[in-house]
Amino acid sequence: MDRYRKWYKGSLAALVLCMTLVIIFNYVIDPYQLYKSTSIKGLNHTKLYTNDYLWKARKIAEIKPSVLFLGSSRTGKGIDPDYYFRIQGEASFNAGLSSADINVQLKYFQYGAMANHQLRKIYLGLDFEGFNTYSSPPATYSEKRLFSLKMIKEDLISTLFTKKSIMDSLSVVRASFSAQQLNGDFLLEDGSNDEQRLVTTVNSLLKDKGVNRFYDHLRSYLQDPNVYIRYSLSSNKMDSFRQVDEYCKSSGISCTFFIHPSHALQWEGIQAAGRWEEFEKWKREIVEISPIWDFSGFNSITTVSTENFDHYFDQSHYRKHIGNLVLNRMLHVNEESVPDDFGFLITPNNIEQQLDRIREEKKRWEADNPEIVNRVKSLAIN
Amino acid sequence: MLFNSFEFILLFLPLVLIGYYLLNRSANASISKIWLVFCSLFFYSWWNISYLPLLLISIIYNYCTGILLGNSKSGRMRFILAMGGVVFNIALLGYYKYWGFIVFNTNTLFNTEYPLLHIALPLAISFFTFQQIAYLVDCYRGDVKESSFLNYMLFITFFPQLIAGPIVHHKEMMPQFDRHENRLFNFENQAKGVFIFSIGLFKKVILADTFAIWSTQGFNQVNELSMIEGWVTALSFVFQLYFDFSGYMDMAMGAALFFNIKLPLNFNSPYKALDIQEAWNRWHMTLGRFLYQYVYIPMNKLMLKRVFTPLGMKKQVMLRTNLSLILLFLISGIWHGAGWTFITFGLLHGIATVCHRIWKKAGLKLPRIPAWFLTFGFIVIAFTFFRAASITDALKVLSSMFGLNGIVLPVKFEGLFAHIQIQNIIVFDNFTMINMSGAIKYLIIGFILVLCCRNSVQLMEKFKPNVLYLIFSLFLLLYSLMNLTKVSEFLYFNF
Repeated sequence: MDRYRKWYKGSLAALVLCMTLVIIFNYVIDPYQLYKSTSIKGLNHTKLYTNDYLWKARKIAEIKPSVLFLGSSRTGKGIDPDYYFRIQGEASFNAGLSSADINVQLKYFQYGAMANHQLRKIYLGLDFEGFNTYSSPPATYSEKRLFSLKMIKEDLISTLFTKKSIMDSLSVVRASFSAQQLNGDFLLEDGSNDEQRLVTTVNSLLKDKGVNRFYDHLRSYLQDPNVYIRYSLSSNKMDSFRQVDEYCKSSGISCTFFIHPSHALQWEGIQAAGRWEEFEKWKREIVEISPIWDFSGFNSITTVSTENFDHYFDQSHYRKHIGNLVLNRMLHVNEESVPDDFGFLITPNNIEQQLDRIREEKKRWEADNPEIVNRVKSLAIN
Repeated sequence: MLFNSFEFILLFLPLVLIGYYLLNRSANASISKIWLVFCSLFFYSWWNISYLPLLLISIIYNYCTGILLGNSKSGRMRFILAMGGVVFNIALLGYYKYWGFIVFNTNTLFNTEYPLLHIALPLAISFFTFQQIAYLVDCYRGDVKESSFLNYMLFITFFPQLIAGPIVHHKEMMPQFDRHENRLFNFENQAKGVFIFSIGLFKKVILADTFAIWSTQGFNQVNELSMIEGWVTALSFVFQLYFDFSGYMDMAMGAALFFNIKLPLNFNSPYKALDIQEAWNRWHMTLGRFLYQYVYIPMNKLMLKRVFTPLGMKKQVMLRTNLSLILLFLISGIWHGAGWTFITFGLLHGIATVCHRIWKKAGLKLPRIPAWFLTFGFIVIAFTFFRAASITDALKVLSSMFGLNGIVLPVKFEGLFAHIQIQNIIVFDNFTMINMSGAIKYLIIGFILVLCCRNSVQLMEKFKPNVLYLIFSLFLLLYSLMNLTKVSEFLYFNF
């Protein structure tokens, strides 16, 4: 019996000890930058940004921003809170999340309002794809975490005591020790992406592997069954957008909605996928809810060359200086820097003219760029 | 509450244990039993408290019937009471589990429009119903007499076996609670409990939940499966079910051992079986025992008395046995779920068991390896019906397994077959299922574990309190805990 006693006590002690060590190790290394652990050069100064849904939720809970930029990764990469501060004198947080649909954006907006009852302004970038019945957020999204400003049990466990967290901590230690960068989109403290790293990545892809992200990324859109192949405008998601608008109006929060200035290739992709009519229908429906700033189409910004990344990272994501033009137009600041054909406020009264205008622009651009049109078509077929 | 959750492992179980052994210091044994009953009801209610009243009503009704049976001297009255109790239990199960199925099929068959009530299945109802039917029959036979309501409550609700079995007898459980030495903290049982609980947790979290990825994906895309994908789908489910259910049983055994209670064996390496009868003798053994004792034997006797004797077929023992067996397996299939797929599953096993009996009676015997292939192959086919959403889906999976949907091999193998004329037979393309190489690796591991290794109970029998066993248990426990990232129910919670 004595041997069993020793074994039993030893096993429990070893279990408790191992669990404690794992938790302390993950806490100290803090691979996802959640616990404000001291950053030590050579040990844990390099971080991972693979879980933006959790990281941004924690940031919103901590800094309680009074101005929020919401949307998908297009917002995350293209809108610069630093520039916003320079032109408006207000601190803001970029809560754009990769692959977030409008339901998710509504939840993060409500979370922002819960964190800061003084939330004053939101800018929401709208995506046609985010209103698709078939689109769904990634596995890292958790609605439960947005019910509380404190970190929920599941997040504590997943970041401190899982195989994945320990592997990620080890990657951080390895990368910090060897002064390497880890893959993934690097996030700045204001929630936006680090532009330089993104540009370096897309440039090296083009140079080293011959992969042009404009077409390569568009292919992933056209071949994903839940982006354009299956598309049905979701009434539930339209309701979510309505809720954002109604909540803002009832709470005195100023809201500005805009359609992103993705590259012409993106809009041509919608045409190639046979979704142009639904795209216009989507605009008609959202504009019934609220006026929208529309930067989509085939204007002087969105039709720039696809052979370099001076203005875009790919056909979907624009760079921050383009985002600055978006802000300039919407806020009527430095408007002389904004081309005349870039950004129109669409309302129920002018929606048909605006749709006609874009159709005309499209026709002209297609006539001028038959090779690109054919290349996009081939991506949709293959 | 799930065994495979942090709440259970790190909070519930330690607190219940501490409370139990502290209360056992009191001279009054009832106090610790009250504690266990209270904790077991809490454990049951954690998932959904709305079914607690149903559980309590069922317990109270069966307890009262048991008391009346014990006090009644009249044979006729005892028969009426026992039958009344059995009918009550079956009616309860029938309403919650089969009503929707009956109404749906009635509407389809007779073109009626009776409303479907969409009644949710109360957790554990199949298990506590069968356990209480067995109890009533035992009372009727005079094998059991329980006068204490507390003991009866504990017998039904004891949390390690409440949700998904094993289906236990009163006489094998309650004397264990009353034994004085079992009220004392026993380090040997604690150590063995830790050991087998760790194995069970690993089986569930690492093995079953990983196989679930491929079985779920495959059964969700039955129209797109090629031959290899069909086999991966079906085999993944066969392993998922085994590791899930036997993992649950290991954890149940481990949790019960912490209270010095030994639960009966429920699995004994069923996939090593060389014939279908042996497979059933090794699979869900307490269900098999229940069905044999409380369904097969009475049904056989009833058939003899009411059918075969009046028809002058008293000596047709083989026919009667075979009919009883087919009915028995049909009942087993229906017990697992309300659906034609489960009925087909039961019927297939019934027919296979009858075939095996005829084969055995004829004195025929297959060598070990072909016998295993035949038995295991049949198990895979029958479980395909068990898992599929419909018979059509099951047939689609089976047709893909037999190559009727075409054979697809990865493009990288094209070079290997370049000199053979197989263009019309094999297509070189990508698989539609994710991580197929991972699936193949896991299937190989699965086969090695179920065929070449000792099962968990055999391992526990060999348990020695040394460093090797400590490292082994600690690794399984820690690795499983570190992969507990999502809520994953046990498959048998649905039955």
